Formats: sequence, structure tokens, C-alpha cells
Amino acid sequence: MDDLRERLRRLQRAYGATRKPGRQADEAPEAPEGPPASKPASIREQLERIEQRSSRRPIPRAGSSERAKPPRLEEVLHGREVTTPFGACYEVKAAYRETFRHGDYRIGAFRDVDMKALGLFCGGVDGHDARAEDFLFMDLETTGLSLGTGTYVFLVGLGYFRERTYHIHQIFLRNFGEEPAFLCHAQEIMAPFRHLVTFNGKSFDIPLLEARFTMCSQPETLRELVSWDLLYPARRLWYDRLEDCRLETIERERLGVAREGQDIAGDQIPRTYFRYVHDGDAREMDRIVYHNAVDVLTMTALAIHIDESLKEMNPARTNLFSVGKYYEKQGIQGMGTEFFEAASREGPSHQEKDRALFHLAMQHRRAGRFEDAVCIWKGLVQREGYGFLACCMEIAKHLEHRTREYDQALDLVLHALERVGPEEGRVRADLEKRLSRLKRKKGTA
Amino acid sequence: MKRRDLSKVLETLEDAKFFSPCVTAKVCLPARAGEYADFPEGLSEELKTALSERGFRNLYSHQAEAFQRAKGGEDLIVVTPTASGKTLCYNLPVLDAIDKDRTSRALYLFPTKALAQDQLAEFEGLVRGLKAAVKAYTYDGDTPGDIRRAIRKKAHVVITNPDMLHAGILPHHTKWNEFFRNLSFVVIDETHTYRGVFGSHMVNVMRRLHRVCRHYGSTPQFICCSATIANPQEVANRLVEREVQIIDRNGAPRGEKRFYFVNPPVVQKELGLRTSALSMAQRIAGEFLRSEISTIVFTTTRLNVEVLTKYLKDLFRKPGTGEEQKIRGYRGGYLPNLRREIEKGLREGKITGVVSTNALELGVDIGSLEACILSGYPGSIASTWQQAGRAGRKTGLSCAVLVSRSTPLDQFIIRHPDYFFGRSPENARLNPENLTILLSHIQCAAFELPFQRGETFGEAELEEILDFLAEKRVLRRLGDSWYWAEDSYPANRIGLRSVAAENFVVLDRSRGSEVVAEVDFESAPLTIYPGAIYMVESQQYQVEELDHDNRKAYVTPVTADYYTEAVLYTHLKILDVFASDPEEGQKGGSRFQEGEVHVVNHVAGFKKLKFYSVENLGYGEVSLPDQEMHTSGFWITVPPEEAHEIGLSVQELLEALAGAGYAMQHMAAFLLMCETRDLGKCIGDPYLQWFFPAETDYIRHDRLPGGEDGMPFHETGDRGFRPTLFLYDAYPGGVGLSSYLFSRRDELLSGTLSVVEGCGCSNGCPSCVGPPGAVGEKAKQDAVRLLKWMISGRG
Repeated sequence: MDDLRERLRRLQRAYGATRKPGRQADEAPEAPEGPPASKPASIREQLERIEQRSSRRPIPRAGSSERAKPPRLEEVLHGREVTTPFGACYEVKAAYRETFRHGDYRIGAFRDVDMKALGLFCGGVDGHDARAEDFLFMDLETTGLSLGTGTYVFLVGLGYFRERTYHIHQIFLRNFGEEPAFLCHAQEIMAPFRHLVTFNGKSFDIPLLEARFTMCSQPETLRELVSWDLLYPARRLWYDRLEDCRLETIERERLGVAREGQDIAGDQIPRTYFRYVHDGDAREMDRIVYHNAVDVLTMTALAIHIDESLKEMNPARTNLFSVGKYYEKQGIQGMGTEFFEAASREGPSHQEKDRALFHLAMQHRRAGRFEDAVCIWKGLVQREGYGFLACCMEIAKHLEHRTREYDQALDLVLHALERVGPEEGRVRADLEKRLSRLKRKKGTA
Repeated sequence: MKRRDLSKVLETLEDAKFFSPCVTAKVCLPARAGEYADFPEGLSEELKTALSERGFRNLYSHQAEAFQRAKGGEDLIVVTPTASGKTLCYNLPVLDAIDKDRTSRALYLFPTKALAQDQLAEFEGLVRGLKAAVKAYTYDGDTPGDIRRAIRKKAHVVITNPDMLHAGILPHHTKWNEFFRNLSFVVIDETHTYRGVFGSHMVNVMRRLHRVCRHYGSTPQFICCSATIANPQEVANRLVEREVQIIDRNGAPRGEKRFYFVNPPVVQKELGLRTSALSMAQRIAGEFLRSEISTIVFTTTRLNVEVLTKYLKDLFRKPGTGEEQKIRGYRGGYLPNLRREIEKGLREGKITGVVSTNALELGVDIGSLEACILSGYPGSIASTWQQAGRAGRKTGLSCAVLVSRSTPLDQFIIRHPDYFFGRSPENARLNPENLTILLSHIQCAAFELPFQRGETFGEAELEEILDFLAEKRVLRRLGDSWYWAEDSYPANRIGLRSVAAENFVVLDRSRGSEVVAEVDFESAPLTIYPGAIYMVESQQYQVEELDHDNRKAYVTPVTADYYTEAVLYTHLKILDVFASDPEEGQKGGSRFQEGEVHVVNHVAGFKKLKFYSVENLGYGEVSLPDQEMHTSGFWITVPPEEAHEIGLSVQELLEALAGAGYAMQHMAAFLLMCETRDLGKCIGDPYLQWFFPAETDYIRHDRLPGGEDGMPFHETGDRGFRPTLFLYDAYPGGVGLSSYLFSRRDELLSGTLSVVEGCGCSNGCPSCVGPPGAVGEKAKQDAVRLLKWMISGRG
């Protein structure tokens, strides 16, 4: 308290020394026009003020100078109105001969894909009796990237094979009120299919579309379709071979697809669509529709390319080790072996080769090919390569339980113990247990 | 420690020289018999069995009443004290509903994650005996992604907090559609915490919940629980926006309780210095603990928890006995496992003494203790009763001791026990129609479901607001519907509380960077600056490095004979003036303005303080980013030369301004229907960078007699000194409080004047210009003069 008084006194002294009565000059910033002193502001005025202070970035209005009258949707998109029990919606259709080439791929080559193998590689989907006609390829354009009920799907692109032709249906949401009809028609198209192909559909497209159906209390069969999400297989094949695994990167680098100037960048899509929503300005809607159609085609070509990559087994372009690991993790016996073999022979780095060898040895062991396994382990131990300790352990097990060569096993365990780091307490404990058991066995032998 | 009866211990204490002369009041609250009721009709046999197995032979009358009235379809607010079996009031109706219809669902809302965890444990205990499994889960930011889907589908009871409901559940309601379709009960526990701005948010979150439920065709019943405040029913009505029926007839028995007010003795007359509340509390706690009286000590800061825990442990530290293990600390920031362990230890009686912040004030289950010591007045009558209620048994004696600090407010309360005992606990205020908050939540609501014409959202002029948002291209109006039309997730833009930034973790380098504690963003600069001694249950660590960007502090264990305390300064800068009355440049007495201000909390350094003696062992430098906040402010500037004309010297003017400011902050909170803590207050001249010390400084002076202060002070220059009283929104970005104050400035002035003039005290009290000592002796009369002059100058 006294401290405070003291400071007040100091202040008074300072003030007294410089006091200039009647002085009005003030350094405060210029004040804008305030509202009249005592009249409370209307709600409208209050809202304006709150909004002014928020940091929102408004969606720009279409500049009136650019064009007197923006084009209507029907002038830009050449689609047709479809009638459903919930009213009308708008659809753009296209058909491609199966000989149509999308980048490097003939679209009809999808018929030659090994569905069983591709299914296994897409998360263990059963595709053994699937025909090309059973597949629906789906890509969505949305008003944002956040999941949640305020994000709308405004364009559903669906591709499928019928009678030697590849069809693309694109349903376009002309206004939010049309959503029930829009979803109803999408469901009508979806109904006959058994398999659904997407790119990142598991965590984005499918839950988002599902949310729309729930919002409109409409029945849907999305979850009944067998889901093939190509993002995960693509990542397994190329995560370290491409700069990223976005659909556009893959199509450029691997599928030979070059988008035309007609395309629009993905991150521009929500704002462009909102301009249409607010102003009815349909310019650039054709670009969004083009973008979406290319995505659907690319997805189809991508399925062909994944199948081809699995058959081709080119370690320079594809991470075969990662493919082998996937099969191993899925518990699909034998499938990984040839990928590990190929990776261990021709992998791009020693490290990748050694890791492949290590896993290959495990495959041999599981299949009972002990000699092959031991041969690899020995090589790795000699080179002090990947999995050194684990290899020592495996050889020691082999020597102890199968060939009963306790002396050699002992040497190996001791060798390994010298190399155990301080942070590998568990490994050390394992080795020590084995050591004492071996000593015991040796004594009684 | 040797067990003695509490009555014997109190006898000794009342005779003790260190204690008896300091007692300013002793109030005996008589024992009361319990009122019981048989298990009510309609309660399933299975539930009766489950209750019997947990040792219940019957219910308290309020539990039975709650069950029957809930079954009758009423929305309820249950107001009974701590440890009166409040949770059964909602668990029984909810379990009964699930028993009758297995698809039935319930949503439990708790203000904090810790309380949710606690409730989960309690609920699981109760349902363990049931044949058909009833599943309850907590659902919050800590819930792993892979089990969220299972919870949404399977949980009968989802236990969460308002923040998660706001940003994580409602905007994704389609994923919860089965849950909402079958939602039959919503439980809001600790209803009294939803006041002020937080309460305004909560009302709006509830409106959104109602909308979503309507969409799925459900009309859940609400059961609220509250601690004792003046207007629990009103708060519940506002939160739920329905007629909520009150149950406040407590059937739980209560043993006799003695409540002591203790003012530590003056040790130095000239300076008016008193023994610190902390050491007094330590001494009293020592007496209790020596006799194995289970004791809880509340302190007002986290640092004090650590210091007092150490002192008490030191008191009982005898090699080989492990007695010091019976004394523990408890506060926010301890890791969940540690907190659970301490709570369990208290319930089971393995821990005799605990030192806590108000973290244990809310309903965390720690059983009932015999003695409660409050080291420092908690700031409100309601909190004081709530904390004192932690001691109290169904039968037998208990006691509570309030030990005052030297702060003016504490001194007032301790010297005027009638003020405390004669007054009902405070009103909780909240204003659900705050336009800034409302506007935010209307956007969230539109994101969740399109608005239809004819819908209501509180009392707001909904259509006007929706059209405004449509015009701003946030919504799109089509006929009678308004749709969300922006690429954003509005719930992420609005936090329900003032501080949303994530926590810092404290990592022990000596143990492979293991996490030892968490520190919330706001307190980080005050507790984990490099060089700080950071304490967790009396284990001392020294902070070696603070990685501010990654929110990490690296520490190593040390043994030091001192602790550290940060020196904090608050500055304020005016960034922009939105409105001014009178206009700048025009003469006319005091000037009222509103605009954008920049509030800076700056840690200038820290002090090393020796344990026990509180001797200052030196200073440390700290260079940390300032904590800054842009917010809205309202301020009144009084030119001293004009105040001079009504006979106020500069010093008198400042004190009058401080007194008027104290009253004005309370009046403003009243007008705004918010809490005083929702408004920041500051007096000074931002152009000169001179500020009146904030209230926290008093606390510091109290703990640190003779402490340095060093407030920056410059010459006033040509401009002259312009003392200004600032009130600002204590929320980043502002929530519209200050601009409302500006528009109601005449009312604010006259209201403040009538509060000060109408107060019966002679030299100021906490109800008007603040307690004597916080403001000068003449502050009350000078404040009246100043306020009158301000009003008259406005014609």
C-alpha cells in the first residue's frame, strides 16, 4: 500500500512539474464518426459493427464491370434436367468408347485387370468374381474440406462401364433446396452397383456423402457397396517414389495425363462455386465439371496402373519392399515373397535391399525353408546389416533347436551381447536367458 | 500422528495462544437429521439390488423426489450441498429409462474433463451389478479416433463437456443420428459454473442442441445440478429455456460444523504487517494432522499449493515413518493418473491431508473430510461455502477455518463476519442475448442445419440476423430457408472460454523426457520460464529450457531452498477509437470512448524466495514472448485540470477513479449480466505507460512485504497526464461487452453513483468502492463527487 502511495506522490510531482492547464492537444488517434451519444444502435448497426471487427475474408462479389450479365448455368453446362420424386435436378452426361485413351491408358483396359489381386492389394477386398460392369467410380466436389454438416456436396461424378462404353454422369447441385432430388438421383444411379472405387473416399467422400443423405433423411446404400479406396495402395507403391501421392501428381507422373487449360485448381473450387451460389454467375462451372470428369477418368486409369505395377515389379518405379510388407501384415501367405525377392535383388539402396532380405528370410522360415533363411541371416550378420541382433537371435534359435550345435549358438549369442546398446534392455534380457539355457544344455549334452 | 477426536483438538486449538486471539468469529452450524425415503415405486428390482449391493438401504428424500419427478417428465434442477448424493438424482432416472428401453440414450455435460472422468468411474461402479450391460464413455479431445465410432454407436451414456459438444459433436450430428434420435436425458452438472460469458455461450450451445434434437424428433428431458447460489432455478431456466422445477430440500443428514474466522496477528505495527495466511494455515493444519484429523487446505494459487505442501510434509518428515506420504498436493496441471491416485487415497483414508486449489471445489469425489482450512478468502460467498462444504460428515463434528490474507478484501470479510454470514451467496448472471456471442452461434447453428422461416433462437430478431448474414454472403437465402454458404467451420472460430490455446507439457530430462505435468497456456509464462523452480507435490524441478513454439518445458530434478515467483506487468495500449463522446478536441469534462485495445502481460523477471523466511535471494532475468490480447475496451478519461476545479488533487482523483472504477466494474457486470471476471479493469495513462497496480499486485505485496515494484514510469511530457479508467472484454477479440457499456454509459454512470451513494458503509466496502485499504480513506466521498461531476457535465 505504502508503495502505491509513494508512486502516486511521484506521479503528482511529475505531473505538477509539467502541468499546463487548459491544454487540449491530445495524441489519441482520430476518432471516426460515432453514433449519437445516447441513442442505442439498431440491431442492424450493431451487427455491422461486430462484423467489421471480425477478420472474415468475404467471398468477392462478381465485378459488375467484367460482364453485364453473367451466363446462366444452362448456357455453360450442356446437361439436362432429371425428374425425381423429390423434384428436378441437373445432370451432365458423357460417354467414351472403351478405346478412348486417357493419358497413356486405354480406358477399356480396366477389363483386363486382375480383380482378385487388385482387391487383395486394396485392403483385402474380395474381387474374385467382380466384372468391370460391377464397378462404380466416384469423385465429389464439395463446398469445403471440413467434414461436418455445413459442407455440401455440389457435384457427384460417377463413372461406369456399360455395353463397351464408359459413361460419366455428373449431377450438379443448382441450389441448396434441390439437394433431396440431387441425392435421390445419385442413389438411383448407384443402386445397381456392388463395388465403389474412390480416391481417399474412406475418410472424405463416403462419410461426407453419407452425412448429406442423413441430413435429408434419405435412404442410401453407400455403406453396402464394397469400397476400393485407391489412395492407400497408391501410397504403398509410391510414397517414396513420387513427391506426393495426390491424384494430380500421380496422373502427371505416371499416367501421362495432361490437364487442359480448361481445368481449375482444386483449392479454387469452393469459392468459385459460392460465387455461383450467391450471384448466379455460372462462369467456370464448366471448368469444375471438367476437373471432376478428369478425376473420374484418372481414377479408372489409376486402377489399371496399380494392377500393372504389381505385375511389372519394377523396383525403380515402385517400392516393392512396401508391397511385400503389406502382404506380410495382411497375413497373405506367400504373396510377399516374390516382392521381397525382387526388392532384395534390385532395390534402389543397400538399406532397402537388406530390409527386403531380412523379411524374405522370415518368409522362408515360415514356409519351412530353413536353409534359405539361415543363409540370408548369416549374410546379414556378416555385413552387420539390417536387423543384426534379430538375425543373430534367429540363427542361434536355429542352431539350438534344430541342428543342436550349442557351441556355435553360444558364440553367436556372446557376439550379439557385445553389440547390444544400453537402450535395448529387452533384447539383452532375451539374449541372457538364451545364454544361460545354452550353457545348461551344453553342460548336460 | 496420533488419532484424537476433533472436538478435543478444537478444544486445544481454542485455548492455543497462536489461535484464540486471532479468531474474529465462531459460528456453530447445528447437526441435522437426515430425511430418508424407501426405494421409490417404479424403480426396477435390478436397480434396487444394485443399490443394495453398494450399501444403500434407502434413499435420501431429495433423491427419491428427483426420481419420481423425473419419471413424471419434469425438467429438474437439484440444489443440494457437496456430498449429498447428487449424482444418484440423475443416474437413477437415466438407468431406469435405459432399463425400460435399451435404445434410450443420455448425454452428461460437465464443465471439465476431470469431472467427466470422475463421473465415469462413479457410473461404472453403479452399473457393475446390472445384468444387461449399460455402457458409458467419456467423449472429449482425449478420446482416440479409432474408438469414437464405437462410442457413437454403443454408448448409452456419453459424458462430455460443452466445448466438445460445441466443436466436436453438434457440427457432426449426422454421425450421431442414432444417438440424438434416442436421446432421452441431458444432464448438466455444476450448473452454477455456467455464468457470465461462459454461461452465455452455454445457453447458445443448448439452443443448438435443441435444434438438432428437434431435427431427429427427440425431446430430451433435462436434469441440472448446482451448488448453492442465490438463483439456481433462474440459471437453469435460462440455460435450458424451459420451466425447470427446483428440488432443494436436502435429505442428507449433517453433523455439527464449526466455522472459524481467523485473522493472523500483526507482527509489525508501523507497516501493519501480518503473519502470512499461508504460515497460519500451515500451523492450524499441523494441529489437525498431528491428531490424524482428515484435512483439506484450499489456497488461492497453484504456487501456494506447492509451497504449503512442502511445509506440511516437512512438518511430518521423520525417517522411516513415511508419514509425509499422507500429505499430498492437488491442483490443475497434475497428470490425470496422479490426480486419480490422490482422489482414491483421500476416499480410502490413506491420505490424511491435501492442499488444493479450487480444483477440488467442484464435485470430484474425495469422500468427506473432517476439517477444511481456507488460506485466503476465495473471492465469493458461494465459493467459500462450497469449499467449506468439503469438510462435513453425515454424523459427528466437522470444522472449517477461514484464514485471511492482508489484502483489503480479505481483511474486510474477516473483520465483518456478519457481512458474510448474513448474506445469501451471489447471483449467477448470464446474458444469452449478447449479440456478438449470439451471432457466432447462429452461424454454428446454420452450419449444423439450415434455418427455416418461423424458427426461433432465443429472443433474437432471428430473421433480421439471418438476412444480414445472407447479405454478407455467409448464408444463402432461398425462399424461406437460409443455408450455410461459406467454406469454413464456424465452431473453430469461437472458443467458449477465454483461453483456448493448448497446454504446455513439462518434461523431466533426467528420466528420458518423461512428462511430469501440464501447464495451461496462460500460466506458462508465470511458472515455467527458464530458471524457475517448478514443483509437483514438493518434488522440485528447475526449468532448463522453454520451447515456446512446441509448448514444451524441459526440467531436471533439483533440491533448492528457495522457490521462484514471476514479476508480471500489465500494460494497455489503445489501437483504435471507434466512438468518442464528446468528440476528440471538444471540451467537455470527462471523455467516454470505446475501441480496440491491446492488453499485454509481460513477465519482467523472477524472484528467488527462501522457503519459510520468504527472504528475497535475488532476481533472475526472463525473456519470454509477451502474452498479448487484442480486445474491445471502454474507457473514461478525466483531465486532472478539470477535476481540480471540483477540488480533487491528482492523487485524490486517482483514488476516486479507483473507487469509482471498482463500483463501476460491478455495476457494468450487472448491466451486462456477466461476471466481474469477464471484464478486465485497469487505471492509468497508456500514452505515458503508467498504470495503477492491478489487483494481483496487492496479493503479491501481501506475500512479499517490501517487494520491489519498478512499474515503468516516464516524464509526462507536454501532453499532460490523462488518468483513464479502462474496462475491457477479458476475451481475445472481444465479445461485445465494452461496446454495450459505451452505448449505455449514462445508465452505467447513474447506476454506479446510486450504488456508491446508497451503500450504508462509512469508508468503503466490497459492495461499493472496494474495501478500505484497497482505496484511500476519502475514496468513497471523492468517488461520489467525481461521479456526480461526470454526470452533471453530460447535462
